[in-house]
Amino acid sequence: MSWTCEHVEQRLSEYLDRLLTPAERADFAAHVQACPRCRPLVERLGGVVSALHRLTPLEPPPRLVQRILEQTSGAEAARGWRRRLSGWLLPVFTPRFAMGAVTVMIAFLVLSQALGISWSQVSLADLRPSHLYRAADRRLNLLYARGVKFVNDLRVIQELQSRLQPATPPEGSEPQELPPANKQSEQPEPRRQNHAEEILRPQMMLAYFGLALQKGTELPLWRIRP
Amino acid sequence: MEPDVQLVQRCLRGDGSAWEELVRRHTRRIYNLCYRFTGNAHEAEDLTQEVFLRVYRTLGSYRAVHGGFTTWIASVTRNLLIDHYRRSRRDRLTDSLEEVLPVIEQKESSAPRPDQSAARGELSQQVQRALLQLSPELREAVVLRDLQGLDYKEIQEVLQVPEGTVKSRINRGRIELARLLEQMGVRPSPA
Repeated sequence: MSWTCEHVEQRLSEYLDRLLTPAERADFAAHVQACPRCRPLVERLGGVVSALHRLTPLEPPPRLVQRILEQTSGAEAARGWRRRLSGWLLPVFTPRFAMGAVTVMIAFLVLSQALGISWSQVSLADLRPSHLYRAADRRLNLLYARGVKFVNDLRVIQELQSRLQPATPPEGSEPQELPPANKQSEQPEPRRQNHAEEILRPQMMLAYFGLALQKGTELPLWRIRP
Repeated sequence: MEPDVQLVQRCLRGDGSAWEELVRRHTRRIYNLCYRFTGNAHEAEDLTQEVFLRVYRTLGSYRAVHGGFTTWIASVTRNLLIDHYRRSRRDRLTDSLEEVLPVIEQKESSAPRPDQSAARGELSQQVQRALLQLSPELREAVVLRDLQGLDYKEIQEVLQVPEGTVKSRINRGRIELARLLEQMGVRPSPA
């Protein structure tokens, strides 16, 4: 079968891409050799195809791969990381946690107060376990001594009170006959006692401070500051 | 080198390094495909990113039995390129006249240029310009065949058209390209 120019033009690319069967190829070549119109066309198209093949591939911008990764797996990794972090942090930022934190802080302050750490001039030596133990021991001893002193003071005050207080009114004087009078006589008694306490208070205080000074112990934490 | 199919399997198991390898392996190819189709480096860059974003999301739908990964990613790219082409067709139509004008000027100024390397750089520019004047159907066929090196069967898979249509489009595309280059006064010699 001899090929026409239309045939050749239709199968031109297949010829160039070597997809024709040997028989087809022979027929194609036979026509092109003889045809003054098809020959330059085949040559021209061959030139275009090889020009296309010679086109050097362009280098993508160097940042492109990085940007792609950031948009795909990178974005997911970042999301995962953020999610993990917020998973840790979110439960922390709750009122309950804040309350707990404040409570712990107060407890810590109270404990450090009890252990005798003064935060205005704290040094590393103050935080040593041996120091903490000694401070706690000292505090405990002071507390015990203060307790003992308080009981002693109370005894002294009671003694003073009993000496300064006039003798209790005789009981049983006309207790049955005049109930209203009895009521009247009962009324001034607490007032008198109050009065006695008012007189006694400075003396009691004096006695207390005197004793405290005499014994050379520290005044309690709740002492009245000058 | 580890085959793409294995890399895809590793990706689907959540292996980030496999995905990175896939991206590094195919970025240049996809970028070139986009560049040759659009003729614009910026658009090619954006489209390449879009391609990988889509590939990343739809990697699970890739089936090795349906063809190579290169063919699959090329068809993802081709679909995006056609979408992109349709989106910007209106702009292209208004720009087409302005695109043709510099070509004519170039033709006149390009004739006396003996320097071989400059001529070669110019030739690739002229080929690119001629490619952009092809209809998208012919352009994609020529780019896939002659610049991406896909065979007819693979192009058939990418374009989802019958074998005869692929042959016809490649052939018509090349002949049209030769005619356009001839109009520009360019006649590349066979290698």
